[in-house]
Amino acid sequence: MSDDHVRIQLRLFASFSELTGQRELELDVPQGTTVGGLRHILEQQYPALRAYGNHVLIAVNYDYADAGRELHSGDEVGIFPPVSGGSF
Amino acid sequence: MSRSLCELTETPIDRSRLLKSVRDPAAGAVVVFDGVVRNQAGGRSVRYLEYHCYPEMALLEMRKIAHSVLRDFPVVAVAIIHRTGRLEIGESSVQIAVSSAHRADAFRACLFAIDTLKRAVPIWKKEHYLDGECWIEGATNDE
Repeated sequence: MSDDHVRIQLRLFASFSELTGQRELELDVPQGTTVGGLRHILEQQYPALRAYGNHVLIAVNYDYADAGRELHSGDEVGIFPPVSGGSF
Repeated sequence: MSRSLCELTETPIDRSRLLKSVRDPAAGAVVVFDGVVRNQAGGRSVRYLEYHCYPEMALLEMRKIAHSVLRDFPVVAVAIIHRTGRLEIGESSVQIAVSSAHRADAFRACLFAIDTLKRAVPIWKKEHYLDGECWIEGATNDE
């Protein structure tokens, strides 16, 4: 990893892990990358995610994060579709 | 003293433990929400459901709900247990118990807890039908 990148742990859930074929991956992103920027990077890599539009939820270190939040080395980033626990 | 219990389990929910955890001499009412797997969804016959979760975060979000319940409602105790893995028709996916001095507060707090859980706790269900399967994705806040 070069100095101008940060390394994050990415975890994908539900349909996102099936669409991408990944449940966990380590990713190096440029320093200063925000949650919104990461989403853009992932959409390039996995175009199927684009269909979700704004229905993509992202959590940093187990906390829901806004698009403007900057990522830091060692962050765990969870990415998933809207939740559907319980019963209707 | 306020109390809460939050758990994820891969085995059937232990209702007696749930009830015991909210019982209190000061509580005259206990309200329980029991979410049960149905045999129908959108006109299709469901064979069974599969619940997946983001365990560390789901537990934290469940604790946030319990904290809000105890802070914002005059209740005595709250317990939330959600099951994960494969569930058959008729089995409980989630049970929430709230105790309070009088019934109205426990009903209101329990409704708040299940509504918030369905929006915020990272748990997803996949419905398995006779002829296929489908991830069920919930609503977002802007809907």
